[in-house]
Amino acid sequence: MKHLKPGLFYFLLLISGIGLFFSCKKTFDEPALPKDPDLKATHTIAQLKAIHVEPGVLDSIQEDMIVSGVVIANDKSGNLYKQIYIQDETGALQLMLDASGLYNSFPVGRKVFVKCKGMCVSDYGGMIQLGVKALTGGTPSIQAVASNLISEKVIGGSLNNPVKITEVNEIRDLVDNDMQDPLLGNLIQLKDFQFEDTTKTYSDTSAYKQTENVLIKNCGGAKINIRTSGYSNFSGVRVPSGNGNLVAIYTVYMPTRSDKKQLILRDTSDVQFKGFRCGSGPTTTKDIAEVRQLFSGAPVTVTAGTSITGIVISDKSTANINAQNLVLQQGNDKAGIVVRFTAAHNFDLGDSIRVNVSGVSLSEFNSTLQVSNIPLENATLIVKGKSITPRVATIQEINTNFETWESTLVKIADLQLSGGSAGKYSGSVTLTGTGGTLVMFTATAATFSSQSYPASVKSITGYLSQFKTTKQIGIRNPATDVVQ
Amino acid sequence: MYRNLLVSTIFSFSILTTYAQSLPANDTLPTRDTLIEEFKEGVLDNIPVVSVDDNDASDASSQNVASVLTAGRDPFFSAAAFNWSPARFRMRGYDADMFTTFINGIPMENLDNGFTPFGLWGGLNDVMRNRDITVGLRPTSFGFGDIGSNTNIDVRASKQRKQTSFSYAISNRNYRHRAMLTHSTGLNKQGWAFTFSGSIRYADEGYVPGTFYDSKSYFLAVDKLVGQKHLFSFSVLGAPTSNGRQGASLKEMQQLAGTNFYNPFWGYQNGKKRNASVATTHQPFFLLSHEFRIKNNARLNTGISYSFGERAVSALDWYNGADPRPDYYRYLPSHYEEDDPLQAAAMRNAMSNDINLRQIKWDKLYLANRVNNETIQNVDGIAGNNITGNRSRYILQERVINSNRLNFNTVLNSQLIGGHNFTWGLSYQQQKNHYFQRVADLLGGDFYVDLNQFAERNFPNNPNISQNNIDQPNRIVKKGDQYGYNYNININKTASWMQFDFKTAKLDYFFAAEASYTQFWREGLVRNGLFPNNSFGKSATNTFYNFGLKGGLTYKINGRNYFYANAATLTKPPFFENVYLAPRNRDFQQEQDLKSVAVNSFEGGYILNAPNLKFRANLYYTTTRNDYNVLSFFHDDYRNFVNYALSNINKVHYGAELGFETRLSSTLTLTGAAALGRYYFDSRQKAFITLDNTTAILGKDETIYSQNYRVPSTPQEAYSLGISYRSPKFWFVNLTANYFDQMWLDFNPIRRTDAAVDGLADKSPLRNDILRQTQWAGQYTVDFFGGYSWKLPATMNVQGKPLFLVFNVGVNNLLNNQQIITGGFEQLRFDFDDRNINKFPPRLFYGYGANYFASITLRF
Repeated sequence: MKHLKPGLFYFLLLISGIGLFFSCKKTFDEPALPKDPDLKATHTIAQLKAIHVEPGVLDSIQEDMIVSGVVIANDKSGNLYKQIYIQDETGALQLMLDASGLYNSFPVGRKVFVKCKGMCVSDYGGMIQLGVKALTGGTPSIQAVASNLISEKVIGGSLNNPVKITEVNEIRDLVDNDMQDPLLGNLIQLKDFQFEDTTKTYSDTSAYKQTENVLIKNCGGAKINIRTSGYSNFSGVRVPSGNGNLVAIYTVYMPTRSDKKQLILRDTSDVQFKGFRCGSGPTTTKDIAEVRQLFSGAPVTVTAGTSITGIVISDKSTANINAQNLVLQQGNDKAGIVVRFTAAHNFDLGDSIRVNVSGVSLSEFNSTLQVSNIPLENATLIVKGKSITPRVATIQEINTNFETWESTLVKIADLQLSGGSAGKYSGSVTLTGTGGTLVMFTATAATFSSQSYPASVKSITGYLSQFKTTKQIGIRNPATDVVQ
Repeated sequence: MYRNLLVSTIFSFSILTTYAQSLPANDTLPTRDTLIEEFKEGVLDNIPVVSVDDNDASDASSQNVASVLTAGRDPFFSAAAFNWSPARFRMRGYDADMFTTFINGIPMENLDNGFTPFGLWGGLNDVMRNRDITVGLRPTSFGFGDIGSNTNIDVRASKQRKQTSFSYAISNRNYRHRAMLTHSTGLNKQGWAFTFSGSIRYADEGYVPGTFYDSKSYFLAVDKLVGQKHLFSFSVLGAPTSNGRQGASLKEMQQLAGTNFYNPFWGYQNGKKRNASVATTHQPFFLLSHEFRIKNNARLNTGISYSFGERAVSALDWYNGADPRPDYYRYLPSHYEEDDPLQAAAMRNAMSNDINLRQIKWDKLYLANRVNNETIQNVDGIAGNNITGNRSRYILQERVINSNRLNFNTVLNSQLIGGHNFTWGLSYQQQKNHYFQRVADLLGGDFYVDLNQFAERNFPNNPNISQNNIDQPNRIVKKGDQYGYNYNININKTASWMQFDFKTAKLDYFFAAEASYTQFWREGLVRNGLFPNNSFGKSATNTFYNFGLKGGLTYKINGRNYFYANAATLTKPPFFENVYLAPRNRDFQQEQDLKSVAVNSFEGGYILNAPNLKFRANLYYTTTRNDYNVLSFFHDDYRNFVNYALSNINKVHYGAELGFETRLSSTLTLTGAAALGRYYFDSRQKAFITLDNTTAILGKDETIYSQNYRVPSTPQEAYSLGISYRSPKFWFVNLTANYFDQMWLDFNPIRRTDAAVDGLADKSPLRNDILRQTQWAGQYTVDFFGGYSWKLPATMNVQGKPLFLVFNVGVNNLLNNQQIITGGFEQLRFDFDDRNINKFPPRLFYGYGANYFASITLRF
C-alpha cells in the first residue's frame, strides 16, 4: 500500500487538473440591442405610394429604392394578420409579411428600412399595400413577403422611436377618395367619442370569427365605424360605455357606396372612453347668452359639461314650430335660443327645462342660432306651468336689438296687419308699427294658419327669429297672443 | 417500436462453454488480437447515438453507443459490432431492451426502457476489458438474461491487468480528442488491489456542424481479499458529459444546406455557434460486491449498486411566438411553391446562400424577449400581486430526468458431481425517475410564466385550465426553476432464477427458469388545470408477474464441430413509457389490465472451430406479442401534442447469421460475415388517439393496418468481407468491405388507417403511395484499420517493466459514402385534406462519410 499512495496522489492531481481545466462552463454572451443599420432612405413613403396611381393595378418597383419608417401597428393583438404599418413624416404604409408573431421582431416604435426593389405596390379597396407580385396558377396577384425573405427586404433598426399620432377634429375632414392621402394607414386621434351600442363586443365571438363593425359617435353626431377581426384577442371584450378619446389606424374601403371611412384598433388600450357620455355627467349651468357668445360665424361645439335652463316659449300644440324644435328663454329679460332635438319632443309651452348641451353643435339655421342634434334624454323637465313676461318693445327697438333679443318673447303694441295670402295667418304677414315693419310668420302646418287675421291689433306677443335676412316674429296661438 | 435510436451493439462472441473467468496472466505484452479489439473499442466509443424525436417526447436514452464488448474473435459478431454499427445494424432486429448488461454481476439496465445506459460509463474502456458475453439463448453464469445477448463486465480492481497506460487519440466523429489514463496495481501481497482510470473526450465541433462534446470520465476501484475465500470490491464510476446534439431533418433543408449532415439545432450567437439541444448527464454509480468462495466448486457473488443524478436535454420552448425552429415547414420554399413559385425560387436562392436563414436566429429570440414588457396579475394566486418586467417569449428549457437506481443481485454458482453446474440467483432492482422541466436560460427576458399555452388557446375564457400548477397559479419562473410537468415514476422488480447445465461426452444441455414480479406507478407532483383529478398524487399501481423458461442442447461431434439448438419462452412487463398515454399531465394508461409482452425464440446452428478455418451458421426465429407503444408529436392545426397509444403490437424476426474466418497463410486472414434477416410487424395494431392538452379523444380503437410492415431503422441484410495482414514485426492492417440492404423507414401509423385512404380506388397510385413503406437503396462501405506496437528499448524500462508504444489508425467508410440513411421517421402528421404525402416529408439521419480514429498509447 505504501508505494500506492504517491502514485495515486499524482494521478489524481493530474486528472483533476485536466478536469478543472475543461469544466469551466462559459456562458454565452448576450447579443446587443439593435441599432440603426448603415442604410439611408432614398425615397419617402409618399413618393413610394405615388407610384401606385390606378386602383387594383400591381405596380412593380424596378429601381433601387429604400424607404424607412417607424412601426406604428403590428399583429400583437391578432387584429392585424401578416401585416404591419409603418410611418414617416410623409405618410403611412402597410407592409404585407407572411409570418406570425411579427410583433416580436417589429414592436411599435422600431425603425425599419425597406428595400423595395423587386417588390410590388398595389391596393386593397383604396388602401395602398407593399408586397410581392406572385403568379398563382398563372394569375398575377400581390402576396406577402415569404417568411424567410422578410429579413432580406425589411431591415430592422433601433427601438423606441417616437410614434406620431395626428389629432383629427372633424371626421368629415378625413379624406376618403384619394389613395395618396397621408392620413391613410396612419394613426389618428379622435376626441370625445362614444360607442353607440354599449351592449356589443368588439367583434364576432362565434366560431366563424367574422370581421365586424362597431359604430362610434360624438356628441355632435359625427360617426365612424371601428372594424375588428374576430381573431383579435379582444373580439369578445365588451365595448366601454363612456366617452373619451381614441387612437386608431385610419383606413378606407372605397368600393362601398357610403361609409368608406373605417378605423382599425391596435388593441383596447387605444380606446380611452372613460368620461361621461354625451348628455350625462356633471354640468355647469351657463347663461344662454354665454352659450350664444360661443358662436362666431361657423358652427361650433359647445364645451362639455354645459347645460342651459329656461322656459319653453314656443307651443308645440299649435304646430307653428317644427315638432323637433322649441324656443327656450332663460328668464325674463334674459336671452333665448332655439333648441332642436333629434326627434319630436314632448315639452309644452311653459315647461321649465334643463338641456345638457355638452358637445352639441351650435350653429345657425337660416340665420337663427340654434343648438341642434340633441338627444331627447339630454333634456329634463324641471317644472310645468311657468311663464315668461314678454318684453314690451317697439319695432324700432326690436330692429336695433334683434340679435340679442332673438328667440325671446316680445310684445309689440298698436300694429296694422297686412299681406299674407288672402288675409289668413299662413305665411308672412306684415306688421306695421312704430318705427317700421316686421314680418309675422306662420307655418302652413300651424293649427291657426287658415284663420283670418284682424286688420289692426292692440298688441301681438311672440318670439323673434330670423329667416335668412328677414327678421320675423312667430306667435304661439292667436287666441292668447293677438289682442284686438 | 421505440423511437429512440439507441444502438445496442453489444455483441461479441462467447466461448461456447461457460468457464468462470480466470485471473489474467501478469503479462503486459498485448497480444495481436487484443490490440485489434482494443482499437475497435476505442473507435466504437466514438460513434454517436442520435435521439430521434419528432418533438419533445421525454428522452431517456443515453448518449453513447455501447463499445464493442468483445474480447473474442467470432467473425460474425466482430463484423456485426464493428463494421456494421455505423449503419445502425441491430442484431436480429431486436430493440435495445433485449440485451442485458451486468457490471460485477449487478444488473445495469434502466427499468424504464430496458436500455443499458452505456453513456454513463463512456470513456472507461480501459477498465472494462473483462467481459463475459453470451449471445442469443445460451446460458450465462450471472443471470437469466434476455434473448439478444447478456454481458457481464468485471471491473473489480483485482481482475484488472496490472498496468499503467496513457493514451491520446484524435478523431473526427462526435469527439475530436481523447486522453485516457489508467493505472492498476493488481492484487498485491497484502490482498489489496487498486485501479484508477480517467478520460477526457472533447470536441469543439464534431463531424456534424453545431455539435460539441465535452466529457470527463472517472473510475476508482478498490479490492480487498480477506483470507482465501472473501473478495470485497468497491467501485465508483461516472462520466459527466455535455454534448450538443444533431436533429433529424428534411431532405429539402439538406439540399439547401448542401449536405446530408444539416443540423437544425444550432444558430450563431455573437459569432459563436450555439446549439439549442444540449444533453448534460452525470449519474455516478457506486458498486459494492462480495465474492465468497464457499468451496472450490461453489461461489456466491453478491453485489449492490446505487446510482443517482440527472440527465437533462435542453430545447427551445416558447409562449405565443412564431416557431423558432429553422426547418419549420412554413419557413421552407416548398410551402410557397404552389401559390407563389417566384418567391419560392427566391427563397431557395436566399436560403442556399445565407447560412443564417437555415439555422436558429438567436438574435431574434433575444429581441422578442426584450421588447415584451408585460404585467402578470395575481402571481401565485395572491390578489394584487402584480409583477411587471420583460416576459420571455422564448426560453431555453431543460427536460430533466433525475434518476435514483438501486440494484441488488446475488448468484450462487456451484459445480455438481459429474461436472454439471447449478446456478441460482436472486435480484432486486428499484428505480425512481423524477421527470420535470426547468428553465435553463431566459434569453434576455426577466421571467417566464408557468402556463400551458396550448390549453390556454383551447379554452381562452378559463383561467384555471391553463395552469400547470393550480395550487400556485400564474407562477413566475426564472433560471433554474422547475415549471411545466413534474412527476415521478417508480418501478421495482424482484426476480429469482435457477439454471442447470449438464455436460456429457457428446452432449451439453441446460435448462433455466426465472420468475419475476414488477410494479410501477406514477406519482404526480403538481396538480394541473386540465386534469385536476388525475394529475396529482399516486396513480394505480400496475403489477406484473412474469416467468421465463430457457433450454437447449449442444451436440459435440468432435472437438471442432458442434451443432446446437436453444429455445426460450418468456414474458416481460411493458415499459411504462409505452403504457401511460401522456404521463406529463395525467395518469391515464392504455388499458386498466395491461398485458405482459410474450416472447418466444428459437435458434439453432453449427459451429466449426478448426485451426485454419472458423465457421459458424445460425438460424433463428423469434416472435414478440402484445407490446405497446406511445408516440407523441406536435400537430400544427391543433397547435397541440397528439398522442398515439398503440397496442397489440406483434413482431416476428427470423433469419440466418453466417461467419467465417480462414487463414490463407501465416500472415493473411480472410473473414466474412452475413446476416440475412426478415423482421416484420405481425399484427394489425390498435390506436387510441388523444390530444395532449384537452380531454378530447380523437380516435378510439382505430385499426392500424400494420401487418407485414418491416421493422425499421436497421439493415435487415448485412454482408462483409475483410482481409487482414499481420506482420510478425508487430503491425497489422485490415481492409473490410460491407454491404447493407433492406433498410426501411419508420412509418407513421396514421397513414395506414381507413381514414387515410378513404375513398381512394383500390389500385390507385395515390393509395399505394400513401400505404407503402419507404425502402432505402442498398449501400456499401469500406473500412480500413491498422496498427503497430513498438516495444521501446530496454533502457526505457519503467520499474523493470518494458514500455510499449502502440499506434492505431482506422478509417471507416473510406469511400466517403454519404448516402447511408441510418435512421429517421415519417413525420407523424398526415395531410388529410390533400393526401399529399410530400407535405410533411420524412426526417432522416445519415451515417457519417469518411471518418477516422487514430490513437497512440503508452503502456507499461
